Amino acid sequence: MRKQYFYNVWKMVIFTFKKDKFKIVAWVLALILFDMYALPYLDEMYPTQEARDSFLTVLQNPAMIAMFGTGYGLDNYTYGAFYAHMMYVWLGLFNGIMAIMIVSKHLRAEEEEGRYEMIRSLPVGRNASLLASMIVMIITFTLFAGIKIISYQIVSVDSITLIGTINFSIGLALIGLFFSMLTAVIAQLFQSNRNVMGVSFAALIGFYLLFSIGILSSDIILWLSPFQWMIHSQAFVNNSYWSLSFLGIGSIGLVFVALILSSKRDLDAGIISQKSKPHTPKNYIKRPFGFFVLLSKSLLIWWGVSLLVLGATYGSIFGDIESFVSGNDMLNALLPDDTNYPTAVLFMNLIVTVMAIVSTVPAMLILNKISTEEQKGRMELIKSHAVSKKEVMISYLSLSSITAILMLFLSSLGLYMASSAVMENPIRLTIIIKAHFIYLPSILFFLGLSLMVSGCLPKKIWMTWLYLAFAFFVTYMGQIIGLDELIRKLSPFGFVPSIPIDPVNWGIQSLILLLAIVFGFIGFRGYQNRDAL
Amino acid sequence: MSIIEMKKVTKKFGDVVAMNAVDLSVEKGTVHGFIGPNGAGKTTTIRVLLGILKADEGSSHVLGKESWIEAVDIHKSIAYVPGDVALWPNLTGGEVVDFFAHLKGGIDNDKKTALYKAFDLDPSKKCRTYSKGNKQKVALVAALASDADIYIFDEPTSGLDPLMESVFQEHVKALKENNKTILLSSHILSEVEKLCDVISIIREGEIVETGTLDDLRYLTGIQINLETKKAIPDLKSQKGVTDYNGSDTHYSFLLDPNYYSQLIKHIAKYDVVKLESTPPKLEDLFMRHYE
Repeated sequence: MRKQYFYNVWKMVIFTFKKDKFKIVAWVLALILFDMYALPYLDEMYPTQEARDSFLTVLQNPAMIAMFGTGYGLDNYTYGAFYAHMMYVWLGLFNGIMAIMIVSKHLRAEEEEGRYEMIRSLPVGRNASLLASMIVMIITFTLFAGIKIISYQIVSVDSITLIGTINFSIGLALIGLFFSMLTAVIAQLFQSNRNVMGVSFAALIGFYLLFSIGILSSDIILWLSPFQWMIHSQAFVNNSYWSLSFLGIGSIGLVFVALILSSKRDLDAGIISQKSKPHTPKNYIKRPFGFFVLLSKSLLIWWGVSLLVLGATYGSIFGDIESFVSGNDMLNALLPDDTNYPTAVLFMNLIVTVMAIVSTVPAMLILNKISTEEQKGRMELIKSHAVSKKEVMISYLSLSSITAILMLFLSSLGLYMASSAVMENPIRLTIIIKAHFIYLPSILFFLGLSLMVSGCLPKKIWMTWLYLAFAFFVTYMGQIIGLDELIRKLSPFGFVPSIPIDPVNWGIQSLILLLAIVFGFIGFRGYQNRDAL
Repeated sequence: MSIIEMKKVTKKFGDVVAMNAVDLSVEKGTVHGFIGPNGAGKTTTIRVLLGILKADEGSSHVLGKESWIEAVDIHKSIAYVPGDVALWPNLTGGEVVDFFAHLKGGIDNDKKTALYKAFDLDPSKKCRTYSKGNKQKVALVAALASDADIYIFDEPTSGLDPLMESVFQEHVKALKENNKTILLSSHILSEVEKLCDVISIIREGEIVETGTLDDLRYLTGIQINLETKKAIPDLKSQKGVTDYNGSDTHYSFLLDPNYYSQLIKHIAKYDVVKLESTPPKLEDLFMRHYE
């Protein structure tokens, strides 16, 4: 490869750091701090050898093995061995996500949005930007490993040795690098950043699934997954390095592939060319509602599939829910001390809380388009036609309400299908559906509130997300850390009864619905009376 | 050798032929206008000669260097302003200009400051706050402040107001006086007419006409409006006369410049009252290829 292809690479490295400094610092800090919090936290939850050994029996059921692996050093299950067992793969996944998010942005997003053309018309080699991004990732993950090693020494937990920490940190840095380089290759293949991110995340999930399936079935499949290469370093147990070298060699190989592909291709082109489909007019786009459906199509599909899968994932652990819950202090604390109902039913209500709040997200994403689309200047195009503000609002409001109902239903379905397959006495579908839909007034409350913000304070739409995050925190986490009941009542989810345990107070639910309508009405008036942004 | 030399360059995107055997040569010290409607292949041609697209067939050289292989060396002496300027939203305009200058190995700071002032651009603002015109100004300042041999502008004034357009034109004239080479792609014909020495017209990936404005005018013919006292019976059948439109003693037609004197001699005996001859506008030349 010609030297000219790499001209000005170091200037590009500095430039990349300059424009990404906040993002990189935020990612590294978030990952380190999360781990610094988790390390002593798990130690407090399972402080003794007995506690860890008893939890190990839970970890040995197939569902848990598929999630966490078999673990190493089980006969002398130190806290280090336990921590690596619980966290290594998952922390690795997070590093993979970070790598994909940053690298795809460096490469294909820059190119797709036209900024790379400016760079390429200057004296910059055609591989310089790619190599610069890789160098940035190498420096970032090296710093990450360094800070992690120091942070573990600060937190200082027994049997988390320096040697183990070094092995653990290098493993995590290497898996991050591996996915950086993989994303760099994928970025050469596709023209749009959406495809690059989609395929990269599919690869990440695919490799994780290879790990999950492989560990239960065959070593050959297992060893195809880079996650196995990482965790086989047996951090805090044997601290070996040979399997980590696979990650290093794989990363170097991927860099070469990416550089070769990049040196051969045109600007704005992908190695895999995308055929454009001929345009066919669609009948349902006659009014704004249909157009908004079209705009939200992929969002609806992805969230729908995700909720179905999430429901099914939770449902699949209902088979041995008793042992799962009894081995987990955190879950025990979350469940009410009600012995009249089977644990499965108690657990289901906990799951449904999460699912209902997650279902609120796509509904709010759609409704908040009233102001986000406006801020991006696209709403003007629609409103300049014979479309009233009223129609815009009604279309979005109805679409988002339908979305909420659809999501709750898909979640119920996923939960029911998986749980009924693994349980001896399955929970009835009607109960699962009822437990979900009792959240509908609360979700509508959030939609009404969002409409009010869109109508009256469109630039403050982030506040609705903050409130939803708050609601999630107090409803779900509040029980773990023992928040006051009154604080939970600051969100409508705090008034939702567990089905079929608690009686439904229809008066309160109606009141929540009424508030939703009042908010919605204020939003309606506000939107009609305010200026366009 | 010309400073920019493209020979029989063909570039396809899938089944679409974006450039079909394009020949283009730009001489040192000239302002070369490159005109054609959207999608005709102007930008593709520029990208091939910048070496960021690879020609499927033919050869492209800039300053005697092969475009694709020696792109970096070529870029050291080129300043380029793309048609659609995209910038980094979290950097300021000034940071972008400085970074570009840094990549090129330096910038004349006085020139830069003068350009900010001339284009009325605030370099301390983040790029996300810039309008289309302001983004274009950032790219223009970066290009004009750099000391290049060749300046390539791809529809540089599409987002500028008329005032800024004329500022831009002043700068192009100044570059020309300094014997710089300029390739100006545009579909604003008045601008090309004002600035360019040589013009190439591209249509559906093919160069259909190239030459000086005078050469091109020669091809089209001169618009003649004529009034005589006596009727001219055989004017329509005279050599070089086309697009004839006449009634009694009023005539208008296009005349091939080669037959100018011949015609003058012929009409002299019919008592000419009025004779107007106007050279065709670039617009007419251009439209000729699209009718």
